[in-house]
Amino acid sequence: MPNNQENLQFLICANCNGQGYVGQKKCRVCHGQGIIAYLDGHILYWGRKINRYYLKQYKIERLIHNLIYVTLLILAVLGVLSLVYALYLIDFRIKIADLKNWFLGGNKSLLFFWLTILTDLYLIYFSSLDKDKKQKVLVKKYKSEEDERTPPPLLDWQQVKKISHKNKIDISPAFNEDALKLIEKAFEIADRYNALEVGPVHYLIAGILISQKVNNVFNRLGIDLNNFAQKIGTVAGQTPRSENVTIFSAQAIQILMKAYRLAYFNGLEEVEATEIIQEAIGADKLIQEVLIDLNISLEKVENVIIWFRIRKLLYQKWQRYRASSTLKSKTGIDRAMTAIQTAYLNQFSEDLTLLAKMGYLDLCIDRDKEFIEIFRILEGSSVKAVVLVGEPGTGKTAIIEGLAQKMIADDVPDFLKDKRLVSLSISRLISGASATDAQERLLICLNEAINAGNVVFYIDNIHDLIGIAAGGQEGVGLAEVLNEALGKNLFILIASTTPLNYSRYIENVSLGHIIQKIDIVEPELNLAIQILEGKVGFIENKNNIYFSYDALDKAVKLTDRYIHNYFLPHKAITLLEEVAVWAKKTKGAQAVVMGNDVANLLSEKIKMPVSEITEKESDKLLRLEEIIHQRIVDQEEAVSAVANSLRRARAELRDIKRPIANLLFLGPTGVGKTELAKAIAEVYFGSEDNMIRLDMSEYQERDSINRLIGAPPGYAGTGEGGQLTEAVRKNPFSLVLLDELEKAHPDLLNLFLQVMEDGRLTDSTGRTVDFTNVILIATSNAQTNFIQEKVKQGVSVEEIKKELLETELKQFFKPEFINRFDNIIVFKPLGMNEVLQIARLLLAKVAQSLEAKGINFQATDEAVEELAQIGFDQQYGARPLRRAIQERVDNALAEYLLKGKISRRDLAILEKGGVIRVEKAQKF
Amino acid sequence: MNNTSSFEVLGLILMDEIRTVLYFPLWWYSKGLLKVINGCWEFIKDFEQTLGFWIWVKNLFVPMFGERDIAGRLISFGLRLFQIITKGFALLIIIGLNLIFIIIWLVLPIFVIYQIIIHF
Repeated sequence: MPNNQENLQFLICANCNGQGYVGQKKCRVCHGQGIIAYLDGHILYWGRKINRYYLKQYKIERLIHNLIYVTLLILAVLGVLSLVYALYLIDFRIKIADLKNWFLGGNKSLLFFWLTILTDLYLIYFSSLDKDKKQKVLVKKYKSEEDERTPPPLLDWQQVKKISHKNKIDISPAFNEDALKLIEKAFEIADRYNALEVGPVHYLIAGILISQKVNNVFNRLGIDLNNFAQKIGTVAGQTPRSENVTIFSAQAIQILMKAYRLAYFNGLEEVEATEIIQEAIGADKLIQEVLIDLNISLEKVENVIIWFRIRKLLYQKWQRYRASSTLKSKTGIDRAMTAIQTAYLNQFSEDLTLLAKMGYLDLCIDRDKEFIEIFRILEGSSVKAVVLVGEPGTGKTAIIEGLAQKMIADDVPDFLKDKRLVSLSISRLISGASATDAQERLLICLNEAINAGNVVFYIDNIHDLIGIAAGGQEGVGLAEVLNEALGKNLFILIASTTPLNYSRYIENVSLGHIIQKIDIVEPELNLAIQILEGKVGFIENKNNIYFSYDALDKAVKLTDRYIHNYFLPHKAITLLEEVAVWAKKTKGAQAVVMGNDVANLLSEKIKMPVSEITEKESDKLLRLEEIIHQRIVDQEEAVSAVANSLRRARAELRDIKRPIANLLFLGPTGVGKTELAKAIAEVYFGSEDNMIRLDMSEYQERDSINRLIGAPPGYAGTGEGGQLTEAVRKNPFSLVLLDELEKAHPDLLNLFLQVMEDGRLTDSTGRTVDFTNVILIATSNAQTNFIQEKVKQGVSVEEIKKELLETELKQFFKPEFINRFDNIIVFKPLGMNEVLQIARLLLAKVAQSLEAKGINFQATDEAVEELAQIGFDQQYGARPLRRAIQERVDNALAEYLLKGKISRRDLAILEKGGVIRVEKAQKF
Repeated sequence: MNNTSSFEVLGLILMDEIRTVLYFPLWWYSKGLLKVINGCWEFIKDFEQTLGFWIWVKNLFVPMFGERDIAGRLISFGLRLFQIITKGFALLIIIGLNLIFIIIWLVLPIFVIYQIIIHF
């Protein structure tokens, strides 16, 4: 879709203020034109007068026209009836000769018949005149880049007079009926409310009131029309008032001229109401503000209007293809019958042009650039072979299917006209055959195609051909066979492959030297949305649901951001297909899919919140500290730092090119570093399981880098993938916990530099693994003694951290490495008080596991205190406590359970001295 | 200007309609005729496309179905000649029908008026 930003150059008459009239008289300077615009060598003017008088005239005119039409049609019917009556009157028994009356005259019913024939002729004339009143929008001519750069001439009214009449264009006949009615309605509205002049807001109101198409646009945007109309009404109320009459001002005409320009650049035949609305919204900041309040940008409005345009265009294209496809043969023979049947080839291939003729292929949108490149290369180079190189899902197949349809419509250069596009299937070629057989098959196929002379080959995933050689590696491969035939320039080949396979298998073999590469890049977001706009019609029909524009927008933007191993537009299309099925099942037929539906489904798929923050969730986010504290005791600074970075991430205030957060937890063992990481995984990714935990003490050797990112070719473990890269690739939405980071080999830390800075890491096979959706947490026990010392001295955590960063940590990590962390969090050693609380938490967990067995469990305060005292250790934090609980509580309980001393509904009470007292429940 | 009554507007429009009626005969033999001729020409071109007449003429000496030996070439030539003659004949009929249509267009108004006069 061409989207030329070139602005129109306007000339507004200063004498009459763009009105065309001074008082009652035509302006002498502009000759009544008021305002004109310059567009590609043409002078545009608005020739249809709009004021109360003319509006009245147009209305009466329309009425009279309709009356004339109805009368003429009635006369035509009556004429036929009178002829029937005349025939009925003939008395065939007397004399056929009586028929001569018919030509001699005097027959009244015949007189009436012939009169109606005359009115029929008039009807032909009348409707033809009506059709002539309409004019198509100018067709944009091809302009060289130099022409594009030449600035338009500066205009004045003297010059305008000299420009030939042919180049002055009245744009009003190019507006369709709907658009003209909208313009008139806009004037009526402005007039009724005594506005000084017709403004953009009046167009908008008129559009909402009378144009179904404009209503459809707002419906697709998911706007509540009542609410919107009310707000727009307020805007209209703020326009300047007039005591006198409302004028159809230069501003109003400017909008129409811009609408015409829009139609011109988009190759439309007529200007529709939607073009006026698009320009009206673009011209009024206040309306844009209202829309932004409803979460709708100008870009969104434009994209929805483009959506309607694309649908119309697709329909026209489809009609054209259908019509031209009747001319093509079903048997694969060209129209001149010079070709030969290719019975053998047909076994190993699929005729895409035939499928296109049958209407089985999807229409292709916005690939003109690629088509031009394909045609240019095939036409120009001596060897007619190209390979489309693009990631899966970027549209290679769509381009090929589009090409087949173009060939059916003869919308291709001469050398492709009346040819068949045949997709050669490599899997069929090599299935059940040895390399020698496959080679023979390929040779026969090629021979047939060359003899037939009308075959254009398409080979999908051409890299599969490489390496299949008769007689082992030294023999001649399938690729060489193809290569030789191509070298003789005997047929045309179009192939496809992915960038990785191209560089790995094709670039450096002889086939790669003669076959020309065309890069198919992933479309940018806006283009992807437009491609989707062309596609969703089929999905909507299939599932009987409707997509709002927001759904498309979200599908493209969210998949672009969160799904990195697939490509646009395919990944967005697949997501929409899933959403459509989901919507049909849950919301029922005719349901409208909104943006948040798409986001919700994606959230479910990737197990990470991406949808809009609901009230419930925002409440949860605001209480994050509280939630985390249900698992973590104290460590206020750490918890609040973590909670803050999660909130930033969820409110989209983070750098999306880096991991969600890079955190370094410092502190002695057993103070809750790992526990906090688990809590984060649960809160943010929904489950503790979404955590990739690497014990860095296992990576102390330099070689262990191979285990992390996969071994390079030739080493043990090649092809297995790295422990880190594989885990993140399979589960890109997770928490990566690097335990005891200081123990890793320093070279490994350099790897993480890149991860933290760019959010990606390349594994040994050359695959880039995306780290932008992980939370990276490293823990370290480095300088534990230092921290413990300082805490004992009563130094604040803030100061300990400062000192650590300035001096102590530098022994372990380079400054640039430390710098990459968003936050370095120092965990305090635990005091008696905290251990007491932890003891309670741990005992609560014991109670929880007993509850599953129907047994109640309690602990007296003295018992908890005793446990805490046993379990407290300055050096090891809360770890000994866990052991103590295990020994004193879990073991005893297990024994009771096994001996049957405790059963359902009993109450077990932990008392001082490690005694567990059982209160038996009443037996039934 | 703005206070003109509906009757005045109506008068102006009726004048306009009368002008339209008067233009009718002139249109029939000028702009209308050109339109009809153009339409017929497009129809004939479309029909030629469907038949593929020129494709067959251009390929008169090209062997059919890749039969490049002498016998094949001869048979091809004969067959193509036959096809061209049949297709040409069909094309001629269509051209003829279109010519008849144009003639009817030219004659019809005069004939209708003549009929009206005699039956009057």
